[in-house]
Amino acid sequence: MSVLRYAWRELAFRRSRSLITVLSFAIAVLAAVLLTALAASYARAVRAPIETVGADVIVQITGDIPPKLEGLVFPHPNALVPANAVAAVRAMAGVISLTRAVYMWELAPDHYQSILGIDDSEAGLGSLASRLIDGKPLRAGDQAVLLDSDFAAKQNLKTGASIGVGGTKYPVFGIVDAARGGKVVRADVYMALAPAQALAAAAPMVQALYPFGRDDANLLLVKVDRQHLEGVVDKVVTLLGKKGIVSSELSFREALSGVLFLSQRMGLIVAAVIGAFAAAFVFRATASAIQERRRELAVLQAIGWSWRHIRQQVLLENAILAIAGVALGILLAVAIAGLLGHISVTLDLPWDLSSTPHFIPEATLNRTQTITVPIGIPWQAAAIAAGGSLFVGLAAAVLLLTSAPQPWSLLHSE
Amino acid sequence: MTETAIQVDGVKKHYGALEVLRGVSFSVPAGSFSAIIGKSGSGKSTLLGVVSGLEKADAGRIVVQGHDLSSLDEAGMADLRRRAIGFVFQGFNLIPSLSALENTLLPTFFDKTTPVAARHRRAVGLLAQVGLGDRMHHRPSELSGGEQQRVAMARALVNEPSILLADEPTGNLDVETGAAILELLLDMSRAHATTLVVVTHDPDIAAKADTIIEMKDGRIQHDVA
Repeated sequence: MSVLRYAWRELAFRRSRSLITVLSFAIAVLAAVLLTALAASYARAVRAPIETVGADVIVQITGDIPPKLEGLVFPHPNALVPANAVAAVRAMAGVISLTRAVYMWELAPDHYQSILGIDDSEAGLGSLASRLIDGKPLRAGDQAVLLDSDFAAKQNLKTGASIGVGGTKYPVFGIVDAARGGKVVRADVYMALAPAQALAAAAPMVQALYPFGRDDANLLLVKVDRQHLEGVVDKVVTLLGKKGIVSSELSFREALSGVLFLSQRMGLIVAAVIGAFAAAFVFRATASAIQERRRELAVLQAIGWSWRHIRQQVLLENAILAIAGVALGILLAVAIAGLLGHISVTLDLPWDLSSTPHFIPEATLNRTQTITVPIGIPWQAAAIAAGGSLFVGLAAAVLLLTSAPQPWSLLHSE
Repeated sequence: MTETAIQVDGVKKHYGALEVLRGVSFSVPAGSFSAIIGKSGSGKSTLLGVVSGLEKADAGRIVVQGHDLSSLDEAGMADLRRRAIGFVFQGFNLIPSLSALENTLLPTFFDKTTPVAARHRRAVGLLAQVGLGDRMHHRPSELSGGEQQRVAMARALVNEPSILLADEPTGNLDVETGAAILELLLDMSRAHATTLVVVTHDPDIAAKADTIIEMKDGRIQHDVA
């Protein structure tokens, strides 16, 4: 027989108390893990709309409406972003990469299409390549286009066909999946940055408003070190002034403020309250068990166990209960997360982020985006909850068995 | 010269205003059987408590197997009890969650010198000697009072102590069972060559002792060899 077997026998003998203590640990761990998982999922949902374009911050400037709505025009949230502003953003601390783009509408009496010319980068042509469902990806020097799958279906265009943009015919290299791209910075026609810049520089209704050159942009996709996100957003807002439109996950937090508050702050508070109750219960259960076993512990002293040995035995018993509780709590959390599967959040995207001419009914885009995020187990939170449970279990035993009593009064006959 | 197992000099103990031991002195020769008798409240049981180190004396000196108890800390005292002292209580004091064999093995847990298998063999052998060879896997709740006291005796002897302290060992048993247990206790004590000190109010038990220490009002009234 070993101390482990003795501990097991003791826990099995006091089955109800052991079970309730295990459940206390399990409920605390379950609450901590599940609430953290939900909070993490909502936080990811908020990031999702902009993350789908491979950036963390989208930078635009509000401009004017062109004198005539014909040919290639810049939507009014997409004014020329001056080259010095581009350079200033690129130089900001925390900016990992900056992708320049040109976003345009092409308007004709019987026709409308949106065009996005974009840099060859992870957030640019690289992002398009990952959404390709037919054909081949675009490279920086290509004088060709990729088409949005919805647009291609509506126009009955396929890979290998050609399409006119600003009076020039471009071969269609491939089709990109509209659903996988989300609705932020979505266009009907995608091309490399250089041909889009050339088209904009030659467009009369662009030039009527802005001195747009062949190396300019009207949309920036900025990838930022997440720790610096708020700082970068603040700096860009200051840099561009009132006309700047700076979109990031922070823009969506407001829309989801209630849910986020509930899932993050309230979630933490609820988990902390449950944890505190569980800790109090574990202390109480340990104290009751020790009180019930005073005579038994006195017998152990009488037969030669030192107080250190006795404390180790109770520590071992509490550690077993804590480990069992943690395992049960995590199992339940995994099971419940699996049953729930995911969270769904519906966001109304701002018009600025994917502008379409509202005066053309068929161009209207439904800007409601439903984001589905799987509920994953946050193993770091689970590890913290496990460590906390073990600490509470061991602390209860240590604090309640500080010094050896004189046990004779519990043992003698008189 | 006879070796001394227990030497008690001028031991005092009080609980609040109540003086339970008022300067008690006696010695117990190794291998002898001593009975401490007296009425309830005379201090006989407290005397056993201070001799075992489970109760701290307020004054005086207690030497057990050459160890002055006042020089030992809690761990040292536990070590001395584990190696040198076996206990038999009136209320048996077995651990209810453990079987007879597991209860018997309990004092051997921290014996670093004897292999596990040897300790197990010794416990099984002792249970067989006390007549429980076929009931060693039963829990205390499945054993009679007499059987529980037999388990307690096996547990007391498993570490081969030189001193056996028994506190009213037959007090919770009927006359017949009590007599049988006492005979067994004496037999086992003799067989294992232990010093036996029994606290009792039963004159029949005292009559079998080599030495009778009679307590009254916290003092030794008679010390009869």
